[in-house]
Amino acid sequence: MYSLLFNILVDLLGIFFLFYSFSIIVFYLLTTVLSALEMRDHLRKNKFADYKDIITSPLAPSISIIAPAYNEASTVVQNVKSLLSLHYGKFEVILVNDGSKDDSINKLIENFQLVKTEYAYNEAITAKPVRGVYKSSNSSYSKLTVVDKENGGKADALNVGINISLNEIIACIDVDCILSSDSLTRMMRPFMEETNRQVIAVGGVIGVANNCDVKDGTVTQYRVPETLLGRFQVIEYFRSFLMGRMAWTRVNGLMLISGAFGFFKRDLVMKVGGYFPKTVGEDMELMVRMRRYMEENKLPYKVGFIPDPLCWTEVPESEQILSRQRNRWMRGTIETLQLHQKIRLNPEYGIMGMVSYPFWAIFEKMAPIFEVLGVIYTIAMIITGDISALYFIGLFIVIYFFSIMISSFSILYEEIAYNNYKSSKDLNKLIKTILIEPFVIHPKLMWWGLKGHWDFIKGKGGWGVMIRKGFDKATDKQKVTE
Amino acid sequence: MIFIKARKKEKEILTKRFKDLTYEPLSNLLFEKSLEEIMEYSKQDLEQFLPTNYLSRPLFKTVLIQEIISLNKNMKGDFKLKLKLIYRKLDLHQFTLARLKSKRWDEVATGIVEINEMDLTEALPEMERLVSNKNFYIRSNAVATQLNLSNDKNLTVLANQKYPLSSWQQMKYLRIIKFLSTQDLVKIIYLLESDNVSVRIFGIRLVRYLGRVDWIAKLSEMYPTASLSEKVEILRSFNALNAESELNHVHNALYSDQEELCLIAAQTLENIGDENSQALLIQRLGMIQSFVLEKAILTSLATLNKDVFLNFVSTSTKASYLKIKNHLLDPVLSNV
Repeated sequence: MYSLLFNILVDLLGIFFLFYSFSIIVFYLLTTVLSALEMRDHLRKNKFADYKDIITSPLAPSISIIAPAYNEASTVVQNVKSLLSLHYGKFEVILVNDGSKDDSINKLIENFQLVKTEYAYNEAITAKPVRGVYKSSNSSYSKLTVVDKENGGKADALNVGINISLNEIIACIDVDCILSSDSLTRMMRPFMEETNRQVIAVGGVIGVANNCDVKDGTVTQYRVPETLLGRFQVIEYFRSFLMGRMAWTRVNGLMLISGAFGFFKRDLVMKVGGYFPKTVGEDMELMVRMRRYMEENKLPYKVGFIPDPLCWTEVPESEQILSRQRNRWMRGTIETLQLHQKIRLNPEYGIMGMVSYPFWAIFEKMAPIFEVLGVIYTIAMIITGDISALYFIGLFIVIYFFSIMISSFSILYEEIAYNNYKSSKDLNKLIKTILIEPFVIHPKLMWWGLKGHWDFIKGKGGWGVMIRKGFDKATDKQKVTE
Repeated sequence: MIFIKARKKEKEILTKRFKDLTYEPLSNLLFEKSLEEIMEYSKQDLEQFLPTNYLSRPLFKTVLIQEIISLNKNMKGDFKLKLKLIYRKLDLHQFTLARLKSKRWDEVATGIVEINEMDLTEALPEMERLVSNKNFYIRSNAVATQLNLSNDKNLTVLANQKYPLSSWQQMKYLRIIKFLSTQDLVKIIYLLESDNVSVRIFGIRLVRYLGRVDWIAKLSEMYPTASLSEKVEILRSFNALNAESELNHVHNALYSDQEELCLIAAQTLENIGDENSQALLIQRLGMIQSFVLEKAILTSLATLNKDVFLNFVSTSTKASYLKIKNHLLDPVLSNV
C-alpha cells in the first residue's frame, strides 16, 4: 500500500517537474522571440526620432526628477550637479534627504546656496514629517528643490517628492545613478507617441557601471567588472532588461519598472496614492497598482520600455550585499503578489491577470522552491535507481545548453543593438561567465531566494496583516494609514 | 553570434568607407563647381567624380543620399540647389521612390523622409495615399512631407486626418507650420472645424503657439460646446494671448465642477482678471477644499491685488490659507 502511494507520488512529482521544465522552456523561447521583435522595432523606430525637438518644444511634457538620498554625503553634491545638467527644457530636480545621519543636508546647503523656505507643503500622500523645503538663492540652481524629512525609507521619501512635484511626469531615480544627458528626451518619446492609449509609465535599462570609465555623466568606456559576481550581473541585466522586459512590453504585460530609473504619469500616481512604504518591493507594487487602476476603470493604457543605455549604476560585487539585495527582491515580489492576489487569473485584469501575474508567481516567486524540490527529487531517484544515468545526463545537458543559449541571446541582443562591450576580451569573459553561471552562481541565487521566502514568513520588514489581506481595489492604498 | 557580429561589423566598415569615399567628390562639386556647371553635367559626367565601381551598390546609394541630406540640412542658398541637382542627376530620386514600394515600413518611411528633405514634389500624389496609412511612422512622415511640399496654407492634410494626433506628431507638425507661417499666414479654421478632436486641440494650440490673436473670437465661439480637453486648451490660449475680452468664459470655468478646468481658469485670471474676478476668486475659495485649487486661486488673487489678498488671508483662520500666504510672500519662492 505505502509502496503504491509512494510510486504514485513519485509519478505525480515527475509529471509536475516535466510540465514545469517544459513551461519554462516554452516561456523563455517565447521571450526570446518577442524581445527580438520588440528590439528590431525599437531600433527601426529610433531612426525616425529627432530628439532635439523635444528639448525646446512647448508640447513636450514637463518632468519632476525625484531622487531620494540617505547618507550619501560623499557623492550627493556631484550627483545633483549631474542631474541639473541634463538636456531638457522643462524639468525640476527634487532631492529628498531621507533623514540622513551624515552631513548631506549641510553639504547641499553650502554647495547650492540653499535657504529654508516657507514652502506650502501639501501632504496629499501621507508620509513622514518634512523638516524643511530648501531652494537656492542662486538662480543658476532654480530647478533644484531640496526637501529635508524624517527617515521613513525610500518609498516614503519618494512620496514626499511626489507631493512636492509640480510637473506632468515624475521620474523616480536613485541619486547615485549615472544618467546620460539625453536620457530625459529619450524616455519621453513613448509618452508623446501613443495615439489611442495613455502611456502610464516608462521604464529604462540600468547598465552596470562597475569598472567602466565615466565622463560628464555618461559611460565613455565600457569594461566588464573584474569579479565574477559583477560579470554575472552584467549578463543578468541583459537577460532581464533586453529580453524579459522587452518581451513583456511587446504584449503590454510589463509589471515591473525599476525603482532606480522609472518615469510615471503624476496624476495617476496621485490617484492611486503613491508608493506603498510598507513593502520592500515598492517599485513593482506601484506599477501593479497603477495598472490595476486602469483595468478597473476600463481605461486603455500602455506601459512603455526604452532599451537604450541611458542609466548606469554600481552593482554589488560582494556576496553579502548581493544576498541581501536578492532577499529583498524576493520579499518584494512575494509581498506585491500577495497584496494583489485579486488579479490572479482574473480575466478582468487582462494580460496582467492572466499571464504576467501567473508568470511572476510560478517562475519568479516559486522558482527557488521548485528548483530545490527538483534537486531533492532527482537525488532521491538516483538513490532508489528509478532514473537511468543516460536519461539524467541527457536531460542535464539539454537544460544546461538551453540556459547557455538564452544567456547568449541576451549578449547577442546587446551586441547587435548597442555593441557597448567592444573588446573581444570582454566578450570572452562574458561567455566564460555564462558557462559557469549555472554551477557557481545560480545555486546561490536560489538559496538567497529561499531565505527571502523564509524572511517573508517570519514577517521581516513588511506589514504582515495588511499584506496578507491585500488590496481589494487599486485605490485602497489611500485608506491605509500608519 | 560571431556570424551576426561579423556581418554587422562588415556593414559598419563598408558604411564608413563609403562615407569617406563620398566626402571628397561632394565637397569638390559643392565648392569648386558652380550651379551652372553642375546643370550642364550629364549623369555620366557626375559619376566620374564618384567611385564608379560602387555606384550600383544599394548601400553606397544609401550612404550617398544620407550624406547629401545631411549637407542639405546644414547649408543654404546655392549649395542646397546644387545638392538637389546632384541628387536628381544621379537618379538617386528613383532609388528613393522605389523605397515606397517596399514591404518594410521603415524602408517606406525612410523613402518619405528623403522625399521631404529633397523636395520631390512629384511624389505628392503618393503621399496623399500614405497620409492615411495605419503605420504611425509612415503616416506621420507622409503628413509632414505633404505639409512641407504642398504649400497648402489651409492645412487640409491635417484637418482630414482620421487617426488621433499624438503629441509627438504635433511637435513635428508645429515645426513645419511655424516655418510655413513665416512665409504666409496659415489658415487654422479647418483644423478648428475638423471632426477629429485631437486635430481641433492641435488647432487651438496653434492659435497660442503662433500668437494668432485674430482667432480668439473663433475659440470663444467654440468654447460652450467644446469637450473638457478642448476647454482646457482654449483657456490656456486665452491666457497666453491675454484675451481680456473672454473673461466671461474664464469666470464660468472657475465655477466648473472639473478641478482641472477650475485650476486653469484661476491661473488665467492671474493674467487677465479684473476687479470682478477678485470677488469671484474669493467667493470660489469658500466653496472648495482642494489645496491645489486654494493655492492657485490665492496666487491669482495676490497677483491681481495684493492688498485684497492680504486683507482676505489675515481675516481667515484656515491653516492652509496661512501656509499659502507665507509661501507667496517668501521671496525665494517667487517662481514656485
